[in-house]
Amino acid sequence: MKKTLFFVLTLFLTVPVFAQTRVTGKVTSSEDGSPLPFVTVLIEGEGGIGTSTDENGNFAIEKCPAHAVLVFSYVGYTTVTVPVEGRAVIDVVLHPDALALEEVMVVAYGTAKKGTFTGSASVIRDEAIKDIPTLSFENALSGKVAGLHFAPGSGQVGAVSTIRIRGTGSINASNEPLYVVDGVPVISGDMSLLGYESWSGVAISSNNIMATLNPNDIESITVLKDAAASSLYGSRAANGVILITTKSGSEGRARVTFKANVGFTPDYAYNNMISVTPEQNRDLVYETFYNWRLDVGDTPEEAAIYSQIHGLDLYIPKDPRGFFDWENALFRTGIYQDYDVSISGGSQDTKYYMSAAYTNERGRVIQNSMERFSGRVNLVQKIGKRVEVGANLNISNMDKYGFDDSRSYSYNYFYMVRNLLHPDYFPTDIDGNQVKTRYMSYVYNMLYYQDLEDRKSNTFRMSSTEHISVDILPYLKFRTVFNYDYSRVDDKRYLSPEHFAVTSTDGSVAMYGTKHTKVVSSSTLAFDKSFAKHSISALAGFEAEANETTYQVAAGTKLPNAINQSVSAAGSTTGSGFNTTDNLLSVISKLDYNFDNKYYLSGSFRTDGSSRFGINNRWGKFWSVAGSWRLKNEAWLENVDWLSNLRVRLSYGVNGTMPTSLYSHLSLFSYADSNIGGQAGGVVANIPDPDLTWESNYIWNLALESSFFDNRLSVNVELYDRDSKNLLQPISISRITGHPSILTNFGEMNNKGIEVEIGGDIIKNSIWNMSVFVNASTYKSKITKLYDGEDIISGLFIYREGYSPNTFYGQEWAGVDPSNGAPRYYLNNDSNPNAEILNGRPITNNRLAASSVVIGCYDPDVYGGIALQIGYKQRLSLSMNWSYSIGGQSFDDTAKDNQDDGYYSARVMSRLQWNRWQKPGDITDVPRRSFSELESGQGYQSRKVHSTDHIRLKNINLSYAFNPTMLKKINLSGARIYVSGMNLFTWAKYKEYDPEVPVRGVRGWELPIGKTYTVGLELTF
Amino acid sequence: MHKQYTEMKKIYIILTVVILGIALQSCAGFLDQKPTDSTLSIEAITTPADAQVALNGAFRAMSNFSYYGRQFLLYADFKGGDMTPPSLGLGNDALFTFIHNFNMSNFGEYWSSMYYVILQSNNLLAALEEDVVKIESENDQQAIDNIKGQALFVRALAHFDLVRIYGYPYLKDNGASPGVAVVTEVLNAKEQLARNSVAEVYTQVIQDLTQATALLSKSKIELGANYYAAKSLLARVYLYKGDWDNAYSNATEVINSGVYQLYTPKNWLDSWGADYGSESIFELPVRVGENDLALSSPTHMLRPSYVNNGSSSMVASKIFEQLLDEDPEDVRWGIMGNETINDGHAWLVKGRLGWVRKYEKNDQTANNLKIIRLSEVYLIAAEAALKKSAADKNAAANYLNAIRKRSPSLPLAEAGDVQLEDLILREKRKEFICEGHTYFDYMRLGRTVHYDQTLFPIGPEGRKLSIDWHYYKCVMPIPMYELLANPNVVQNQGYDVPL
Repeated sequence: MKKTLFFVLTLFLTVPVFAQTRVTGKVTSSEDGSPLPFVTVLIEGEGGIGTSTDENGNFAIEKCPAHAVLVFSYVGYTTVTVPVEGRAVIDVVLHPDALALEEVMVVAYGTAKKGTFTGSASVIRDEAIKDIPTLSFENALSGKVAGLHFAPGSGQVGAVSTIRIRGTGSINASNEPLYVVDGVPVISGDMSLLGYESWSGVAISSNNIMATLNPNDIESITVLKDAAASSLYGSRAANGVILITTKSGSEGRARVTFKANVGFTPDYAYNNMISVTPEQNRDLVYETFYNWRLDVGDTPEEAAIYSQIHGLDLYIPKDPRGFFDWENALFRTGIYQDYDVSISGGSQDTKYYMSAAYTNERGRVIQNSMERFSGRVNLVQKIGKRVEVGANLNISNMDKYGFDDSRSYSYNYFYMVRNLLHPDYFPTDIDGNQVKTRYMSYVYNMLYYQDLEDRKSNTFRMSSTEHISVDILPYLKFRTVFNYDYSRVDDKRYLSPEHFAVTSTDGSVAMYGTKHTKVVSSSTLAFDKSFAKHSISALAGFEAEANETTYQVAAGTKLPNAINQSVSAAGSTTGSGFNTTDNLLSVISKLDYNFDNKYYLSGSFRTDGSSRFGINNRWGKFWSVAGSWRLKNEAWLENVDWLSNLRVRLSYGVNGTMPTSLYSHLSLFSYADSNIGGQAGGVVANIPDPDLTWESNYIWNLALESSFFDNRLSVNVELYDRDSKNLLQPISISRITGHPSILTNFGEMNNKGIEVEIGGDIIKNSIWNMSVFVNASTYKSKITKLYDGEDIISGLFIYREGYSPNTFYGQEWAGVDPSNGAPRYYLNNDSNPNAEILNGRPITNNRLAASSVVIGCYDPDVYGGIALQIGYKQRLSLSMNWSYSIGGQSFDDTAKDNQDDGYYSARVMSRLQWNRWQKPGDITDVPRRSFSELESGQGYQSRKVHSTDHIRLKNINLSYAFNPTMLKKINLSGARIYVSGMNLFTWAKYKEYDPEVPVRGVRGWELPIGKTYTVGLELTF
Repeated sequence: MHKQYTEMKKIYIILTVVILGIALQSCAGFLDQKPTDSTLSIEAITTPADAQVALNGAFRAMSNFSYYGRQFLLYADFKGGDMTPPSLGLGNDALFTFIHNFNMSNFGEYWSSMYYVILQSNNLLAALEEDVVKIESENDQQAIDNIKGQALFVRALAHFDLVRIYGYPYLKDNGASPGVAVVTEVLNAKEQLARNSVAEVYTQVIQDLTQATALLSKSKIELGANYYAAKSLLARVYLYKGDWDNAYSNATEVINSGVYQLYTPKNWLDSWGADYGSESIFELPVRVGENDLALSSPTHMLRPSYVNNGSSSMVASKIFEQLLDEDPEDVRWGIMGNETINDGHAWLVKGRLGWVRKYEKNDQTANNLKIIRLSEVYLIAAEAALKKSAADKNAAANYLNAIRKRSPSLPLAEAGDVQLEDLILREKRKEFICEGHTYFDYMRLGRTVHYDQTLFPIGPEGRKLSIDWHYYKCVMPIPMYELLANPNVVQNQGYDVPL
């Protein structure tokens, strides 16, 4: 019906111009013929001039140009354009959205209709991202895509979060998806040299390079999941591909949108390591000393005196002023501000989109903040009838200050307030002078010292993508894309000569520069033709990519004063620098065939040559085949009214993962860090594997797509089975060789999973609409082959055949002995035939005597999201996004500090330690506290493994759009205000810390994420 | 219309040809990439200058954290009872408590860092053997000989240090028990060598050093080892082996050469503020921006908190203090400083002189590592003179007294002293605190080491109050990573709990 209408109307497109007239009409729904109120009616190309229908579905436009084209849009219905053709009355029937079946989405090297695409892909539109106050878009994906798992990194501003698509596919290479912006693969993740603390791997500075992309510029995000969808990206596609498409202009008058929002983060999203009260804290410190003195043979009297003098009086002497609230002093309400202006429009030949944005975030930690300026121009110009050229230019500059998530008692404020800064400490002495000496718990008064240091990071990125496309024949199109992407991160670390950490060197300053340039050139030839019931599209192309990264460090000590902070002012300077290069050459091709819109077949093939491999295994081949059958289009289902769509898809293919290391295939003699006595030095640095090759993934995917009752209900189910082979594994070798290991392709892993998405329009009438979307994913990751079948133990994690790569390994806690408060562990070995028996198993009080066993696993059983959207009269809308996870576990790496059972003698403890054993008969899970207890609080053990079961209201948004008719009087074509909240509600099974733990589940001292309340305004001119 | 198509086609063909042409042409080079701070191993050592660079790399590796940079340096002082951690949890407790079980990852780095040094030496020696290095003149030949001699010296020292840590003292069973694997070539990834006996390791060390002496220059140098460094090390090795005659002849040759001079009691203290002093026979340079370990350095570890926030994780024990207190005027009190003031460790007596300031040149953490000093050679000569086949107690007393003069209030030793060996060992402790000797000296002679536990009480899982070479933990366990990767290596007795 709609098609016919459109077709008929199109015939009259060239009718000559008439004068301006008044146009009226009525809009009704195709479902029941009822009138549709509040339908937006705009004159195309006139940038927002128009009206909306009244309660009875009637509209009227004064002075409508006779040649105008009217655009009728209404949420949940397909937008219709109707040329006026000089008519005075135009009645329009709107059809409900064909639930995205005809929706065009961006896929690998092109676009596809959702209903015909043979691969597995999910699309997120800008509406789903736009009102979430976030520096980078990843946050907005949480819970929205089945099979996509999001883990926040930290609550510090600008932190890198992690996305995993369909489980873990690699042990040593990357598990990050490939990001592609406007058709060009880009770098992602952290780019800072200051990056990580070497010994713990915890971020000191984190520069999410993706944050250079303004989320407001994003039109859509496509997540490619199976081989059919992603294999065209070959050697980097195994972990899924995230395609980001930025906005483009459309024909018509310039449309100016101004958007502003301000968010407040007054608190954490959840409890985080709540400490004992100041009074309890004093009791615990005393008790820890007291018990220890008894242990070393003191009488209770001696022990009491000792603990008072050498415990309390020494560590936390009483201050007449009472207690100090360090949390309040070192943390504040975070404020997020974002201002964004965009202008878009164009003519038949030229289309443009321009934006400028300023974002400022002041973090909850008093010295953590960041600022971003970004600008974008996306331009497309037609030259003649066949040639189109375009350029996308993005420039972004970010400055970030004071980030530290490490376990550093000098800089991590969260760690300080939760573990080291006793409330008995004051930042000033009794006379009001700043305390400059170290407190007894090894921390300093950062209220004084933070002004004597500077940690900042500047990220500048400029990316330009140009394309030329030529319609050689109506069915043959040539397209070439050239991209130059420049990013640079400059970190600076300055410590004044007065700063406690550098008194021996009279201050220090270090400047780190990391520059990355990427050049991509890609040319493709696309063929697209239909004849009779057949349609064929094919693509062949060639791509080359060159990456270069340059690192520079300049550092100095012996600074002349506290004013000059540059390396050149330093008395003693050092420097270092080198660069690496990494290139890729590829040939790509794909073929899609469709018969009668019922049967679809597709295939892709890509070959990649990478400089990360030696000559033997340099070229890898990646391919996929897929088919789908649209059952609904079969004659025998055509008349089943309640079924709106039914389709099955099946795909199989191979794609890969590259090693992280660029040169493992080469035997290198390295000069880095080998100099001595002012002379150059060099060392044999590695044992190479010249046959090193890609990790390959073999992926099956089976999907069933269905929708019912005029697309009111949709149910999609996907099953996948992903075999990862040739996993890169550093195989431990005898260190007598001088080397620890050799990197070899060996291991194998499997991920199997099911993803379910159910969406429904529960209410859909002219006044109300309400829709619900639920997704659930479950997967099992399993290592299937390791070198010699031998376990690899890597800190907390064990890689063992038959187990997930995220398996925790450690001693098994057996609780506290009620008779004496001693910690107990299941021995899990037969080293002591006389061991005490508990629950039929031998136990020990010495953690180190117990053997390690599997104690937990990060992987959840089920996770996903729930989205609820309610709209009223097209004006008011309420949306909620929930995310949940069931069956996963985390490891509390902070427990060694705040549940130390006495190890550190006098630190601030978690409230859990208040339940410590005190007297015989006490039933508790916390051992007797004593300074001589060296092991029970430390190490990897099941006592620190906790559930991550939770459900969280990730986002709630209430927005109101003003009536366009009223707005017209003040020359606005649209105005919307909204309030939204992030992480406002969380239910978690384990109550001590935020259940959304970093990827792989180790909860450290990184700053927890916060609760954010936002108000926003959007105006369109 | 048709014409336009043809033109477009032409353009397209040209474009394709150009793009593919560029691509294919540059294909080979485009995919051959390497970093700018490395070179391919096979091209690395082709000139005498390259060989020197490789040798420097080996010295640098020797000065790393896990070896002479810190961990090996402090090993024999904690274990020898001269030093103690002032409180629990400061990181190296196990060296003091001996709670180093086979499955603990800490302290496993001795093994790997020393074999890493051996690899560097063997790689250099292999390049020199293969004649890939261009020798164009007599000077080149001398340079190459000198480099080769130093590579052998490095290989010998690393093997000797390994066997001191992992193998029982030679004299316990004349070297019959397992030592460490002797490596004299670059191994491939799959090789899994077994342990050689202690005696075999000594044989190789002596052979390497003897060969080195034939190649090395006799002039005094700064970075690197010369003829006398090799001779001094030979003297030390013979001493450990109980070959007193050879220890004596090598030690006296160094002393008699006159190339090195003992510090006078007067300038002894100043020597700790200077590099490459008159006594220094083998010294590794440490510089800021190179191998300075800064907050991980021995300097920082020894410093009390009131000095640049030192970590004060190692202080002189009461036993050592009493030893030095034999003479309150001993010049070596000069390097002892107040370990506490304002410090957190309340159980320490205020004002005790427990801070050893041997690594405090100009108050910086970058201090050269003095690995062989003439004073040691004197004390080797003294001990060897006492025990050699034709014992010479006068010589023994004289060599000892050259050092003992640093305690002006103590009477000089005399040839008739019955406890001359004792005096020599005590002198060595006083002289070499924090230079990595005491434990090894006591162990090699089968003596008992006593500990001061007043600052650091040790639980039942640790060692007893005194130990000797009969205690199974007198040597370190072979690290677990080696046992897992190499089935041919056997664990030291007592540590071999089933895996």
